[in-house]
Amino acid sequence: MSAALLTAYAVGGGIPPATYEALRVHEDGVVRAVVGNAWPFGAPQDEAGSYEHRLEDGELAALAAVLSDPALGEASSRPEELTADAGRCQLRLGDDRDVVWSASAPAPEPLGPVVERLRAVLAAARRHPAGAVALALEAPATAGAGEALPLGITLRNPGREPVALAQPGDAGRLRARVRRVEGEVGGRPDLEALVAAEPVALPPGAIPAGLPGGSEQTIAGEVALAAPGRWRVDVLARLDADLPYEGETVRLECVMLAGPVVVTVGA
Amino acid sequence: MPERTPAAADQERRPADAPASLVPGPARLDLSPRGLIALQRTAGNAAVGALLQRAPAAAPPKADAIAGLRMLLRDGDAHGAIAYMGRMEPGDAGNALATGDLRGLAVKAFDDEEMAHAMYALKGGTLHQKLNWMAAEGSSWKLVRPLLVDPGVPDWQKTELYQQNYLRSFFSKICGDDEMEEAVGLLGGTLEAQLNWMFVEGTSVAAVKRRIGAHKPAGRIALYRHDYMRDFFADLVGDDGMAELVDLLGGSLDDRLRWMAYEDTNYAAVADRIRKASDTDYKTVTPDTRWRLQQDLSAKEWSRVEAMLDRGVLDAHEVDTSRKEPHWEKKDYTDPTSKWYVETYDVESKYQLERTRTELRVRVRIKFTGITPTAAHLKLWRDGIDAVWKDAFHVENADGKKLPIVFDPVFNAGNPHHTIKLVPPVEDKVTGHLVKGRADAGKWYAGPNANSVPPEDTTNGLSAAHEFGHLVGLTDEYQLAKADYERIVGPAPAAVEPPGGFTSHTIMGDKTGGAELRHMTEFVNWLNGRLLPGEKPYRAVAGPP
Repeated sequence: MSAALLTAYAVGGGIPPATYEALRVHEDGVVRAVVGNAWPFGAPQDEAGSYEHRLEDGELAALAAVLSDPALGEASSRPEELTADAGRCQLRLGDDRDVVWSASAPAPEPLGPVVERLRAVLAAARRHPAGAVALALEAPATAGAGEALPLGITLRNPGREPVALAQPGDAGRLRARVRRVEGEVGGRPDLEALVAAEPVALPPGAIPAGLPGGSEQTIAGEVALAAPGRWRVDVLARLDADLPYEGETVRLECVMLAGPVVVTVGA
Repeated sequence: MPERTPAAADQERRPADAPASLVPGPARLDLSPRGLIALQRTAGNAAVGALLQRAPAAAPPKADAIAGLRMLLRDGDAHGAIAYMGRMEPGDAGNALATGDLRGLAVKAFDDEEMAHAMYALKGGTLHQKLNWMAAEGSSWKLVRPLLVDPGVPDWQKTELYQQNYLRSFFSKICGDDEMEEAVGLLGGTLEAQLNWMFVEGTSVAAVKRRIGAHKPAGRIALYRHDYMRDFFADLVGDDGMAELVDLLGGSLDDRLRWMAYEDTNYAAVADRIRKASDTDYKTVTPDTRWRLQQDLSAKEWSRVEAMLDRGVLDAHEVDTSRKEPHWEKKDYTDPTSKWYVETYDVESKYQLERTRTELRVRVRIKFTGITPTAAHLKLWRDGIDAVWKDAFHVENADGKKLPIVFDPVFNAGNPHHTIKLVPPVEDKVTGHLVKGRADAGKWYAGPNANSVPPEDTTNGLSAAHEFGHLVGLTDEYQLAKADYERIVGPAPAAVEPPGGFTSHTIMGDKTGGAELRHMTEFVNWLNGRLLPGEKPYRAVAGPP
């Protein structure tokens, strides 16, 4: 039985694949977070899952102090018209009042400090996975032109509890984007760019039905790089998962972005 | 009783050697100087010209026949004179009619009816000469008409009448509107000649239309050469009446618009004529006609007409509607176990539809606020929109006519349909790079790199293409309840709706696909609601025409 809720914060919705980051902080310091898709501003983005953590007394007291600021009551519940595409942010205040605003807008005043603190709490919670799916990409650094390039995709559950993966055989659940690059290569993969990238052809049963806690599974996917040069490779995975949550499971689309890997293709 | 014309030229006396017999001699045309002068005096120069052109080889006048008639007329023997005239040879009859003193004597001897019968009786002479005598006597339509329906009167004799303004006055005097219309119908001749007489008499729109309708196209369009005719038309009808009349006349678009502009026309009438003009004809409108049209129209109207003349625009419409569209959202995003509920969002359809002679254009004027976009931003977004919408569809009809559907985002436009706020990217706290967030129809990210290097700091082309779909009134196709999915997209992919509903794999859904034919429905419906005369309905077809 959980203690009463102190506050909660979430970012959700938007054009599929939707963002989903939910954080619930209880009065006893227990923090539960569920993240399906941390893009665009959350981290990490190569992992989705359920997380549980307990705040230290000092952290909890500091958060409670911020939440008790009477000025928070002045925040409008819905400061602007919402649109579906951008998604929305939601903050549960101490008076059980929800403030909802567009995910493409900063937090309305005077909620900025509260949101900033809660995002820090969320980031900390994500270091404590209960059950999660992490995507990794370890393609070789060199390849021959026109040869099939094994992507070296792995799915790993960094948590202690199992995660079931539903409908693992659907085409298009893994997509890879290759782009010729020059000079320094940096920055995280971009969901908007990857969502319409080429699906990775997978053999039947390539995606496992589940990942026990601490397990890892390699996915046999590959792409072909036709022309010589330096190529950046990023991968998107969209998997429906049953994540552990308060002794039950919740089904969520888990969206993970991995990369970049730079592959040099010889003539 | 009509006024009688004084017989001022009647200086001759009955000759002493007048024949006992009153039978006229063989046919003769009086081509002597005296005869011609007399004809010129009584019937005018044109009659003289016509006579000389058609006259047989000159023959000596036969004075006896003329003298005999003169004698009878002097004696006031109307019946005898009519009988005598009926027996005259055609040539003598023509000579008699050309003899000025005889006309004066006849006017004295005859009343209206007797004069008409005398003219009916004469086997020679021209229609002009006979009408000249009847006009001098005074007459009526009832008496004149038999001369016009006489099948023996050659056409040239009828049409030469139009050159005589005094005869026009004469006909105006004896005819009402309908009678004059009948008279010119019997006389034949050009449309201009006929309408000239009808307008002078005073006529009606219906009569003018009937008369125009009686002529072949080539005969109708010749009317445009006569500015005075345009003045008559302008006096007779208003804006729309003039438009109808020029439609009936036919001719080039320039001819018709020029006359309409002279009358003081209106936008609807002008636009309708341009719309119906052929693909070559609409280019014929001269600068002078354009200038005249511009004087008649408001600045806004003129700019629309200019677009029709310069770019072949046939129809344009500013769409400005809004509606609510539902889709699923989590009731409480902070609770992972929360149920879904239906949220409604505004969809604002604001754009311009323009049908030209060669395309159906969907234009969206977009104003950016906030950050000033660079050329790289604009190129990124335009390329993205083009990648999805350009050359994706055309319309065609059962006649095989095809028009491409052109999607035209006009960035930084005046009088915008939509305003999009450009916001800066956000710093990624993991990497320190600037990254974009999720865009919507009213807010896009614009970073300094414009996505030239990863990570992307600017709303990308694919998202711009999705948002462009909203700007032209298309709704989201994700997280839809089954009924909404089937209403908006089509048959649901599964019988049982999954949590969070159905999502299409199109540009308006999860963006993994492009645009579809059904996205063209509103545009095609608009086009089919404004088809040109005789044009068959269109349907959308994938790909360029």
